[in-house]
Amino acid sequence: MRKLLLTLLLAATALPALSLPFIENDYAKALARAKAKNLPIFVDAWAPW
Amino acid sequence: MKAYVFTDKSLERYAGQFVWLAIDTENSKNTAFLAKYPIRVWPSLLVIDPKKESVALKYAGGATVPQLRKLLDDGRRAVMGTGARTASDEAIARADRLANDNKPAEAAVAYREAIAAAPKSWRSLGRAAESLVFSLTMARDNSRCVEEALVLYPRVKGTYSAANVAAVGLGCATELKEDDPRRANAIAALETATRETLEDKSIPLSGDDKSGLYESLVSAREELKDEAGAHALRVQWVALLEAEAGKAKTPEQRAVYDSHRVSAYLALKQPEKLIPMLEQSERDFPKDYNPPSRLSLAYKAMGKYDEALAATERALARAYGPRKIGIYRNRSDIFALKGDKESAKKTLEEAIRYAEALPKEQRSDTVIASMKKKLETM
Repeated sequence: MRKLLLTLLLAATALPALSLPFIENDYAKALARAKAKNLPIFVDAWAPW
Repeated sequence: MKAYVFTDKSLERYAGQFVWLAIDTENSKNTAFLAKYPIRVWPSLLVIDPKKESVALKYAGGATVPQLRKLLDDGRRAVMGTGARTASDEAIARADRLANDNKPAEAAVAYREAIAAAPKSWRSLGRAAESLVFSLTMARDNSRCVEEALVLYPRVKGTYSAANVAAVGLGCATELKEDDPRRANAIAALETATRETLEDKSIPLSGDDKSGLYESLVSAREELKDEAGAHALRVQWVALLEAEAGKAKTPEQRAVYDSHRVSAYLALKQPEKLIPMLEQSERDFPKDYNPPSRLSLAYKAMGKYDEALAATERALARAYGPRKIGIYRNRSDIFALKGDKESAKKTLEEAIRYAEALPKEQRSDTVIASMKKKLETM
């Protein structure tokens, strides 16, 4: 079952051009920016497999 | 999602409405994030309220573009307090926080409350139904998981949420005890629901969603020891994967199907079919450990142990984080199959040292204990 979910949700293996300005692997930076701009943070928590 | 969803131009209107953060959970730079927001399903999508530093929405799974738009709208409403908030909106937000805090049984109660209080045409019914069934499987409450899936499926039938409700429910049904009188009927009903969802052309399922549904159907047939039924499904599964990979417009999109094709061809006992596609991916993504790691599985299944070992060496040179343990373990198994017991043992010892040195947010005591137990038998 968990195997199913993992497979259902597989991420890709490399980064093409994104339409959205993602900050990579820096929660502190995202948090500071979100507080300053009064915006929610959207997180894509993924793994390269 | 990086290959198919986040590149979609229609999402650009959301660009200024959020701060966007991508977290690679294998990367040790993210341990502080993982301590606060543990991730147990990949990918997981979160909307965080920065003032409270708390989860406003958490979704276990990937999303298509229309689904993501809905999640973004819901997450923004939850954080900014815009729009009318119902008791169900409050309950689902509480449930998401409980799920984040690793309290799946309590989260399930809150998701159920949200559904029970739902106004007609509640916009989050599908997500609540998926999350409820998923929380029950995380809580290992297979019996309730099946009950809820059977009750909720007709309510979400014909929508994207039907896929997870049916397939996760089917997984729970196969895990009911074999002498449970409900087991056979539950499996049959949820297999029908899964198949119906797979074949419903009005649901905008992605190729990897469809692959996941096939995998679920195959697993159910395997659980029932119906080898002929499982084989017939594997053949359809591979046909779907080849068609979807054939439609890919970029190497990134094509590589999304690599892991699915590895599972399907290994199950079909045709590992040789994997070699050309994985070699292509290794050329397209020379820094990625996945193609050589997958090649090693294919070569191992073909009995070509030297090629398999060479592939694990390339994979280890590129890998990082907890995933590297799996590559070490595979390498140890290949040495054992080759009859080189000494190298098998040394490699497993190396894996244990590596696993023990990981930051605590990435370390798994269960994995370490299982490797130590295996080492004792070597």
